[in-house]
Amino acid sequence: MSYCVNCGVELDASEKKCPLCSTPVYNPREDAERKAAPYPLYFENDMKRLNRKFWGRIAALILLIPVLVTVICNVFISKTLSWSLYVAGACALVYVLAVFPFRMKKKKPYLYIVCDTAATLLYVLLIAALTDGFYWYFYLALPVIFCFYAYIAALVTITGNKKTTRLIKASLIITATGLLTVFIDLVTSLYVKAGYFLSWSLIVFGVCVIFSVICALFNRHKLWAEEFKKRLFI
Amino acid sequence: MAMFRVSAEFCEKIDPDLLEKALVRTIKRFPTMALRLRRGLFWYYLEKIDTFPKVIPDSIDPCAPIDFKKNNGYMFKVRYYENRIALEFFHVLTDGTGGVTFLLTLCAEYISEKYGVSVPRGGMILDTGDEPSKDETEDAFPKFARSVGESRAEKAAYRFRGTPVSDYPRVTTGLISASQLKAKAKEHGATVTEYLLARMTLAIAEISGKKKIKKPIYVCVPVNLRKFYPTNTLRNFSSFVNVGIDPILGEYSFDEAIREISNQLRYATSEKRLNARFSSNVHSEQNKLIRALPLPVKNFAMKIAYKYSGDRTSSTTLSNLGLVTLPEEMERFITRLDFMIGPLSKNPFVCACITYKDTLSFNVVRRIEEPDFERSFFTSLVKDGIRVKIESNSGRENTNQAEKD
Repeated sequence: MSYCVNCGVELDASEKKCPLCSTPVYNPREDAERKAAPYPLYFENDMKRLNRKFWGRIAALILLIPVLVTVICNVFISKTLSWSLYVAGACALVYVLAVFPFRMKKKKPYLYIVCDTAATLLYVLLIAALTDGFYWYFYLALPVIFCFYAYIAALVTITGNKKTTRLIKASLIITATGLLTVFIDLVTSLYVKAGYFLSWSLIVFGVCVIFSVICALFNRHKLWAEEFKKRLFI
Repeated sequence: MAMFRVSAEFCEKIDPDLLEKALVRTIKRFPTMALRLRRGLFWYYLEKIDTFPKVIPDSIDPCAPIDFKKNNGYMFKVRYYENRIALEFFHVLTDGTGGVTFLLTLCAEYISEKYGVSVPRGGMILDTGDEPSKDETEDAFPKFARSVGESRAEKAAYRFRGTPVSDYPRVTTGLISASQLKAKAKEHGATVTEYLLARMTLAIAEISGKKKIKKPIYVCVPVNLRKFYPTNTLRNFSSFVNVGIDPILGEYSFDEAIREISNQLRYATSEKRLNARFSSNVHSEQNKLIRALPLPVKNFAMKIAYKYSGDRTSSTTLSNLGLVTLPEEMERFITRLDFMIGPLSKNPFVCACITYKDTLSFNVVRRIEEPDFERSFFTSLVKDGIRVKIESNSGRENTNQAEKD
């Protein structure tokens, strides 16, 4: 019989390393004591689960139903493809936003964001093309959509970082939100008034900056944070 | 899926053909085991199975969920490996005590089949010649429930986390000297369960020591209700209590932990408290409004209820089946008994133990990579002067390691 030199427990003769601490077992008389392992190597794995891919496929097929129905109605009743394109486009967008992630084995958030951006842009482009609105598309929709998804990507990066503390994360998220409003304000003012004017977003941004600085300061001064917690204790 | 596994080790290799014969004879005596789960409009219901179950070889993943369809509808498996007969079953069929009764009856049949020894029946070993009696198949919960229940709401317990395993759950068995353990527990004025619970909670507190534990460490302890009520039911008849320590209050010494736990356990396991606990379940079951809800709605509601009051209220489980004594005719052939339960959704490891002869076999089944709990727990016993022998299902890793070497 062998004992683990690290844990002090006696080990079964079939163990080659300690199951508790992974220390290898060295026993010069090992061969003399060899015994069948307590469990066979056979792995039954009875419950192979239906994977995400399967559900992704089912959802995709279900999404095809409204597309099919509207396209057929549209073609047979008004003899052209007009309003049904909105439905088809919307279904395609829903697919990319909600179903596509399920078809992947691993989670790839940045890939989803890139695809979501492209899909949203394409769908809005379709609406623009059908309503003859390329002006608003290029001057309003395109920059706002880009900016929104950049913001989402920033959120993913910030929240995914394991090293930063919660307060720093909060500070960065607040700053990013402030920046988003500034950018939206810029784009809309450019579109409406044909000039770079910042108005309402300055208030939002200012407040965001203050809160962001407060978070950063609290992160630096642990005592402040504790004092603050005590005062706000309910 | 809450799975249990009880197994018996013999002094000789198991003969699968004879085991199957013994199983066919045993299953006739246990109508509560030959049931299939069917889906009704309002409830799940159980239906008798007419075919006989097969015995199958054991695998490296004990307590794995059963695919009922592949298993001919049966919610249990009888497996064999080398010298061991194992019974794995779904909690719907019965609890630990019912499982041991089935296994021991099966072993008695096997022994008389193989060695021609007639084993005296009684206690947990049923006579397969007898007809199954009515009180063995009764649902004892509504029979003994009273009108006053108790709220099921409980504090959320500390949740142990780790890296999830990619394949099968890891089993670590500690074979502990029962006499030494009993003597140690007596030194502290406690029972063996209380002693083990104190060691377990302190082991969890020790591992998580660096992080600040903000929630109490509770261990779920199943309680066999047959001890309190006159029933012979072979179906489920157990309840549970959550006991433990609250590290927010400060660091516990071993004696403090044992005192705290034994007080809680003794308070919670009185007949009145236990009755109030299961009575509220019976009331919900008998509520006319709830009965009329379609099954999918019930399932959805149960899912939510489980999320908030299921294994969230405990950090882990310790199911102790206690000491099993066998007649001398069986003791000659059976060298060891084991009991284990499968890990639950929020409890990454669960513990179960059973004592036979002078060995308490303590099984930890975990679905995380880190063996920190086992290490901390078993070494604390060794430090206390109790002999512990460890074995595991890490055979695959051993062979992989050997191939690499």
